[in-house]
Amino acid sequence: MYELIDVIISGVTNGSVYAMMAVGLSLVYGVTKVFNFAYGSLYTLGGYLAFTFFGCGFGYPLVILLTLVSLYLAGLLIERVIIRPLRRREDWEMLAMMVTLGLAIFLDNLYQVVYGPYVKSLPIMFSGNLQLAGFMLSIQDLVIFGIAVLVMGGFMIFLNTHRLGMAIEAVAQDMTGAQIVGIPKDRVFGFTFAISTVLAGFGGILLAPKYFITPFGGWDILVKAWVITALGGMGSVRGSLYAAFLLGIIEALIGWQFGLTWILFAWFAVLLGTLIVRPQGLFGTWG
Amino acid sequence: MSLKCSHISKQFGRLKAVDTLNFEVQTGEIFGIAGPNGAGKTTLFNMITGMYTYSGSIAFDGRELNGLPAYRICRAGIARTFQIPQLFASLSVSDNIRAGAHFGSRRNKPEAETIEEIIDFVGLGEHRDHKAAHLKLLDKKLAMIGAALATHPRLLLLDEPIAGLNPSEITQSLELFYRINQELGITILIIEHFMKVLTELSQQLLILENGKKVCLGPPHEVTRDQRVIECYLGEDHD
Repeated sequence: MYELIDVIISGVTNGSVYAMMAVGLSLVYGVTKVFNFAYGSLYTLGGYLAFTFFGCGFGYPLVILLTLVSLYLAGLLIERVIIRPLRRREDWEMLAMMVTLGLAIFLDNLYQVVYGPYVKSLPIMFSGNLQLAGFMLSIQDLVIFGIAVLVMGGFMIFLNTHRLGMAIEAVAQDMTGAQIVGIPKDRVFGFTFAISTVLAGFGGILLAPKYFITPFGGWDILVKAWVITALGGMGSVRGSLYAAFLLGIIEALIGWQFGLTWILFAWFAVLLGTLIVRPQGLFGTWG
Repeated sequence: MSLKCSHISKQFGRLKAVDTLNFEVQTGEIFGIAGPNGAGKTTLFNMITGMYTYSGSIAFDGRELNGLPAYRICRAGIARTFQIPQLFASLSVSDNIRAGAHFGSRRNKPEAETIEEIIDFVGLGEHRDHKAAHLKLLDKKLAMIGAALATHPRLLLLDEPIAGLNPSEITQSLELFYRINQELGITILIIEHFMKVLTELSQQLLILENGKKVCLGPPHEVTRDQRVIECYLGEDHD
């Protein structure tokens, strides 16, 4: 029984980070209707940037701050230089998806050239365990869970209260209508892409001490974020949150009962089941 | 002069949707636009509001609009509505109007005051908290006009605003258009297929066909023009 609860706690911890990342992917899809295939590579970018800043001798707080600022700027730059010029064309959504796929391949190979093919890791944030009601809880896991929940909570508050959050919701619902009432669409697109890059990369920082960083490691994360957004409902931030925790727990249970090799199989099984039973996802709508 | 379009053209592939068009709209007037389907009426609105790129010049109160993005044209004082209501479906009527006041208006007037005034003006008091998705067609159109008015425009573009409405709803809408023009002093450009409505409402009427100007002038003259009768009205119109 204790083991089962330990497994579920581990699943919830991973689920919280997955949720944070899936919200970023879902946000970009909801606003631009473009699926960002480079999302996994941006997750890896977060890990590698943090690894680089650690190499400069900085501590965790400064490393996180520098990495998040760099990710934000990278997101803005990618949107401005690569995505925005495509929007002049009528079929820009499909083009943009293909371009993000190319970007993913480019970034992964760049990582391989710059950092080499071997795994890299980040130091543990907090070592040791905490005993609570008979359970041994990893302090590292608790901190990761706390940070992910805080980031998501803060982001949700921002979306619901800030002027820019209102603009994001408006553009996501009706791009034409949004422009007509004076909302700068390009600025909303740029901000959305930048924030989603931060969320992906922050996931990379939080999970790197546990799962390491490899040049092509982002693809597993992309698949997971994709399944979460499909299960939650494409473009539904609330759906992504529920789906992430659910799949985090399923992943932990499958790994515990059948071994780690079955984990991706389980993710694909969930995706297949979703597409067959409820293609629009838990909170998605058609049209 | 309020709006001046000089030699404006828009081409989609080999199709010239708007072809070297020239016209001026005077401040305070209601200016009607009509023509057969595919004449380029909505394309013209999309050009004026920055939704399409184009060649030529569109100036609003002396300021060149060509090259400005849609949101800056809105903030320059031009608002529009669509034939099919474009609203934020999950937001309430008051929040839809708030979006216009929040992002589109350059005035320092308190937002809450603007929202209340507009809800009263368009007559959506009882629906203020209803989600836009659940409104009937007329109320959706009124909410869309309300969101446009919340940006405090000086020029309002109405694209087939009475399409799909019943006779009493049409009467109610026309009264509202008059009030927008007379009480708020807003210049109106209106696209409509009902010639009777346009001739009653507008001081000037522009007829388009295949993106070109067929006739422009006072409605009573335009409706008697032989080219307009041939291309649009037909011989047996009343």
